[in-house]
Amino acid sequence: MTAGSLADLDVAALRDRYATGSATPSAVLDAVLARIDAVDGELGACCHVAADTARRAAEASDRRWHEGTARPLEGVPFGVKDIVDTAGIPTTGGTLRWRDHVPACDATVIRRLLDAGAVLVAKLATPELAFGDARPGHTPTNPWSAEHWTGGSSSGPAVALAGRELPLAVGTDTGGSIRVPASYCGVTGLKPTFGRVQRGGVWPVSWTLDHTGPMARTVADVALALSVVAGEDPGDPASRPVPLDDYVGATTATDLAGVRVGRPIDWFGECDDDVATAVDAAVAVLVDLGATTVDVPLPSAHLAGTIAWTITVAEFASLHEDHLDDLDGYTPAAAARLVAGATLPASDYLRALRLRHVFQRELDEAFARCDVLVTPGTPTTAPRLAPTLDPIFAGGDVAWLERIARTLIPWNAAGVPALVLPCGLAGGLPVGLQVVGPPWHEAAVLRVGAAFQAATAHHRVVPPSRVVGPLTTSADGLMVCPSVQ
Amino acid sequence: VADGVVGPGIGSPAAWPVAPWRSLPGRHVDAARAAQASLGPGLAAMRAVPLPFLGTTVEPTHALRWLDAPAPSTTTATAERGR
Repeated sequence: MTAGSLADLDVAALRDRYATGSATPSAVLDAVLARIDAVDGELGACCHVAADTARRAAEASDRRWHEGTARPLEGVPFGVKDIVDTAGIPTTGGTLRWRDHVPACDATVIRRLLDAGAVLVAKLATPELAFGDARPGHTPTNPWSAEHWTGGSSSGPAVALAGRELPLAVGTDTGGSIRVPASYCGVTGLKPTFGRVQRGGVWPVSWTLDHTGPMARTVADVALALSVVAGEDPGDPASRPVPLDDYVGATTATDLAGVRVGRPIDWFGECDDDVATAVDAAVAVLVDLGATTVDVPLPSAHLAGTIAWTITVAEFASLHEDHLDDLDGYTPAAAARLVAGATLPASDYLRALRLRHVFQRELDEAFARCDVLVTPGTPTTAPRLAPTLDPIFAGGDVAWLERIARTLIPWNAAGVPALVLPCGLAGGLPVGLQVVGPPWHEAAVLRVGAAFQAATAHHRVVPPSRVVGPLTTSADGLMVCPSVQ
Repeated sequence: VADGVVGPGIGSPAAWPVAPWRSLPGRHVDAARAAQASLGPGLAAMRAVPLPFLGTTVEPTHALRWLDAPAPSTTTATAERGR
């Protein structure tokens, strides 16, 4: 295997190679940095590369693997969205206002990854504050097509994964921001239960709806990362003393016997035909694996977008209230949302908060009939970019909500775990499948996703522009990168 | 009612209770109005959901309480069925 191809390995494969001595963290880091150097000028996923810090960490990991003291993510390179604090490394939030900000402390999620041996390589692109327009340096390119949007706001993490720049990343998700780019870029991302992963040191958008979660190329890697970053944090009021499950063990199941898969009807069925076809085919795979399906109604789902938008803009404005007199310091989309939030009636904000529970009670009824829900990741594949890099906001927020996040936002409002993973291609672009579970049941969601990936090759299909080594063809005719099988 | 948006304080700049210590440039007000107006039908639907005064009051904290004590897990039941 060449040094370059080491950058294609997923987390599980890296750990196998480290364990057998056929690769070292330093060699992998060299390959990753070479890959970033080769492709990031085009892809633009990274807004800061911490090469020197990463080299020191990788050398320490070399020693640990040699000494037999390796930790769960020892020597695994990762990147993080640039709204997550990293000690001594610039964290700008993609905004001019804090462009020179260098945190003194790591976010809790970063500290947990570093304590598990992971090697921080890069800060990754985000639209301003994860809720505004994307400034220069934060406008990554979708590896599947430069003419199509990456999704957001965890755009940098998704592009770094799809572009084979990094095998692991941390994103955030207030209204779909992990799962939209995961769906559009063909990678795997998890929004855990609200409070499952700590938010300390993660820049807030909306304290009621913000989630932090892992992103990778496989469900198994997401599960391993979740097992490291999940847990109680006394400093985060959303955190709860709920025991962790065996997430890695949940991904070893290869059948779904006894699992009841719910399919929300109406609101969630309104998607492009080619997306519906791919999702139906994915559900058929789940049935082949032993699952049964049941249609479930969620009558209030159509309100979730408005509920989440109302809560988000109101809390976003509250968080930035000290700067509302200087809106020119923000991008136009962020400024518009700040003003919208600052002038929203309190009664609307409180009504939105109250209606979250109405939707949650509908989920009680749904989860009495099924173990997980399955929906399209996004209703469409990635939209075409024209004429600017920011076509979505130009269409207005309702268009944004309806076109992008209608299948995703309900789970932020409810606070339940939701996993998006690739389930096919349509027009040469990835299609995402979403698996949603009851609160704290990430293991159930991961089990379904891992069984699907064990039976299919969609997660191993590489973007055409990123093919770097010999390819094989899977049973369903897809090009598969052998090093990430 | 202005711009098809129902309710006070939205869509009508004159009704916006902008704090005296805050001056908002007109272009930002226009953009915010557009953002709120585009959500008008959604807000109207949200406001139409009955939340009666009498009976058990649904509070914002119910959502967190629901996460603390969700309905009995069906996943556990599935695992038990599989054994």
